[in-house]
Amino acid sequence: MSALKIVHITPTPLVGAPGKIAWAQRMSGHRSLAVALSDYPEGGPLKKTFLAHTLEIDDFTRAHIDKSVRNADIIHLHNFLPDNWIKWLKNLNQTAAFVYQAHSPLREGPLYTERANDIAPFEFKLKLVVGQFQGRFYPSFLPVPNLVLSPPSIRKYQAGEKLRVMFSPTHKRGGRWNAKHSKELENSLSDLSQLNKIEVISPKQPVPPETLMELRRTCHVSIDEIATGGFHLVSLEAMCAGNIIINRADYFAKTTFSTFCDGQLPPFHYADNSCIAKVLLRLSEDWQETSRLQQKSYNFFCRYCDPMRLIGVYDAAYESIL
Amino acid sequence: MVDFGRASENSNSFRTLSTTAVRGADTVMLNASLAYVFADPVGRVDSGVTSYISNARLLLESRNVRVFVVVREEREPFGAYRERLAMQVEKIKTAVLKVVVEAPESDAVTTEIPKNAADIHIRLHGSRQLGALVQGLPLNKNWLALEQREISRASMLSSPSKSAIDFSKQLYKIPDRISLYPNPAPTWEASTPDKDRKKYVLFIGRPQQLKGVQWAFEMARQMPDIPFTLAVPAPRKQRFKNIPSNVQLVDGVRATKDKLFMNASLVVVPSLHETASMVGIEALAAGVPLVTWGHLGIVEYAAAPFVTAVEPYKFDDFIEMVRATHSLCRRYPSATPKLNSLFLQGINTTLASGKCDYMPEKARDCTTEQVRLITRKSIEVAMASKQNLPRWRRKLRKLIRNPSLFYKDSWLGQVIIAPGAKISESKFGNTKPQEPRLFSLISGTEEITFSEPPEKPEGLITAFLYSEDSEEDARQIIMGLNGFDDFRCVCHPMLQIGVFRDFRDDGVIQLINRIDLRNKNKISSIDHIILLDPPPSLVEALRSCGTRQRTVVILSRNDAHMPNPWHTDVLIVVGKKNLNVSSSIWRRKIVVNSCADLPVAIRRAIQEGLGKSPDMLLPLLGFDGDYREELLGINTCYYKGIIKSPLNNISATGPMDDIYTKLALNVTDIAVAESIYLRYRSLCDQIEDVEIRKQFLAFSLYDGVIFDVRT
Repeated sequence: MSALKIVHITPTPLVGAPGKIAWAQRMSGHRSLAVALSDYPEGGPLKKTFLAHTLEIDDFTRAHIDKSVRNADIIHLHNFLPDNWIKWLKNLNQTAAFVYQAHSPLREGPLYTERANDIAPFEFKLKLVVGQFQGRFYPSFLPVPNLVLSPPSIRKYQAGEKLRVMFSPTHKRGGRWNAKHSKELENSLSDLSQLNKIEVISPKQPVPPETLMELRRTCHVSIDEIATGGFHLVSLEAMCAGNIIINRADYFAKTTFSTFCDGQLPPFHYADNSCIAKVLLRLSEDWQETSRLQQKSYNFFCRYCDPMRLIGVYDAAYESIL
Repeated sequence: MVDFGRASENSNSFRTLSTTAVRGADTVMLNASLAYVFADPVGRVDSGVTSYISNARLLLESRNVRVFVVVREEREPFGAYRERLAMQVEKIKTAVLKVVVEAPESDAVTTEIPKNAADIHIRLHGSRQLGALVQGLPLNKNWLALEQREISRASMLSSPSKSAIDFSKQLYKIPDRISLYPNPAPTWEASTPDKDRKKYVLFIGRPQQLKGVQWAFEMARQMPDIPFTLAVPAPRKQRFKNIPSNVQLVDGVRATKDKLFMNASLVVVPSLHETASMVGIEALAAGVPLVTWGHLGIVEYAAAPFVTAVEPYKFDDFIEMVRATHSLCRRYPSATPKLNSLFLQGINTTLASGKCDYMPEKARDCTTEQVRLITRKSIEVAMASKQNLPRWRRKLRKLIRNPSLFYKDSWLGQVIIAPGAKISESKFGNTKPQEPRLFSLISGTEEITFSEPPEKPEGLITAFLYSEDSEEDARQIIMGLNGFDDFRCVCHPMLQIGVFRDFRDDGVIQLINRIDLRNKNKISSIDHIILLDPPPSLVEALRSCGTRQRTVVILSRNDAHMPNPWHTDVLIVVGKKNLNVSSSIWRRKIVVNSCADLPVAIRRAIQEGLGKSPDMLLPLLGFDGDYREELLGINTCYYKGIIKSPLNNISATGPMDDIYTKLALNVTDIAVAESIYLRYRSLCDQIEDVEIRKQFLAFSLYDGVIFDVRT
């Protein structure tokens, strides 16, 4: 595929997702730029945290961004675009191929509403959705993968060591598909920790993604969430860090992801509220099995989740409309 | 059955009251969906407030308005009465769409009525505190604070005269939005005057200084040639001294008032203060002229010579006017039709949240200073007629004559609160205005807000939203739902009512953006949202605001818009010919023959969707052989069903639709929890159809259902 000029436009950095896609696209030979209309709110914990591969529009960057938009072959919009920015985009470029991608919003509610229709007057040639659990809200959208750019690593669990378990839920909100927290899980972690069976790494305050990744590399197990049947970016990062991934991902979430992995289901370790304590206890007591499962995670990431490989899914999608 | 206490006749069956629409230009707001509750904290036949309520009740009932009167029992503590009133308002609310509680400002009887329970209408009849003020008696600050709070939070305010407002302003901050319209008058049956009897000057009222009884006696003394009739309660028990010979005392409670008026040449109303004077209004209804002080509210009801106003308190002028009027001995046309018409207009405008002035006569503009001056004079008059007894003798006399009143007025009565009268400063210190009763009023492009759903009693909360055009159907449905005593989540107080009108459909996102985070949280706490003939975008927006609520959409009209099946948990259609609903696939569709069947259908829709315990697996497809172990061995808390397919790998590369299609084509066995079967019953009943099977997967996964897929 010949090199494309791509501009990703996102209302907020969306925890770095569009920036990572743009980075991977640049690495694969395209001219790709991720633009955030604004950063996360001033004074909030996420401010300046996810702008590593994303340009925020300001007076200094505006001219360069305008030029990139004007010359773009593909304009890839993420989640939503306010009316005034639609006008801006329309003035700069109406001939590019417009692509829409749905991510999880901050609150679950809007997940149920297709916002692409409200970004008038663009006719999207392609509608994409993050290929984890979100596909069930947009069954006609094409699933695409989230990317993890960090290099993979593994630190295997060894005999005599205490099992290090990371659990870092971003919120305690409930929801059909967006819940991450459960009381039973919290109790299990606390009990096992007091019994000196495991060591729980759970940041009390939001920490930068790089810090969290480095901490994860020192762990053996990462718990994504066991409240719903979905999984999140955490599961992919855990594979990258050679961790066993505990979640409750259902057949459909795993099958969606397998479409990027030659049909191979990701090696997630199932647990729900009724068995989480038992699962963790067994992992802490059987270092050989734990080590084997860690290796399986690590191998899966290296084999299927390398960003330079996954970016091919986006290339294939673009190719279908050009 | 609801007990409305005394004076609650004709109100024993509010659930089955007539639904006849009200006709007439004066009944715009007074309609069949309204219950009008009068709070009568006095409850004495010799009281002006009770007379007013009696007249108003008859008038409103003649317009098919459902009227309830809650009377304070004799010796009932105010605290207990307030609670009883609030409780009865809550009960009444279960049967109607709108409840208005009209109460006098006196005694703050509406304090226990919770916000959103009813619209409170305070009518200034003159409080006990105002009576105390004009007599120079000590004021009760706590009582005043309570009354002020009720005046401030009332959604409607009215006064029977401008005089009432002017005088009340000495004690309360009266908002400018107050309406002015007269009290209604009774209709006296025509009776023939007693020809043999000499005409007399009539005084009707309690023998109190406030009512000016001392002047009535003094007038009789100074005009011995004119007969006087004083109608007072229980005259034999009263201890009058030196009664002039031309005075006849009659029992004002037992006497037939129309007969009293028929033989009267005039009526005197020499009270220190009256907001209107029901005696005066009754006299006007009988066509009898009256003489009164110029600052009394009755002066605004008719002009001279029907009502002769004398400058307060020029007693000689008063006597002169009485003599002149008596000598004329005229009769005038009854003022009842005019007063009652103005009353209905006034109450209608007030209910429509409008300010109005329907007084028959323009009131004299009175400055604050003039009002103070009159009040000061009143106090002087009251003090002068106290017979200058020493304080201890007055107290002792009061204790002997009326121990109950003595206790109530003493400091002991203020400190020791009677049982049932729960008064707490912090509670009544809250002067926040009352929020609208409706759960939500969605109109135009305004921000969409919701009232706080009830925290207690705990249980499922249901919201019922209807189009203003479907109000009559909505009322029937609400009444039907309130009848389910064994299924409380669709009854008051768990049922929240909302209305949408002039709805502007700008798309779902715009609609969601009109609901702020706080209100999104409120709608999220609702378990079931029932919508009658809604715009499709509203259904989607409300379902998208939360994470767990189910929507029940009712299509009762042929022109109703088809909702989006993705955002409709249950569709209820009235009439089989209604719409092309069969062209879409629905989770659950119920067809009823008429609107009368809707309450039961709604109950079915909600009850079916509730959890089942135990939630057993129900085989829908396959599972022909030995499946018992598989079906019994699954925890339906985590998996809501089992789906079996021989395909190891679906090898889909497209969107989720592809995965659903491939699985639906290759599935061999399906078993789902009973709760899921009932939620998706319309789909489960046709699960053999591949397209339906695919839609079942799509809907259930969209809703958060997790299946154990075995390949």
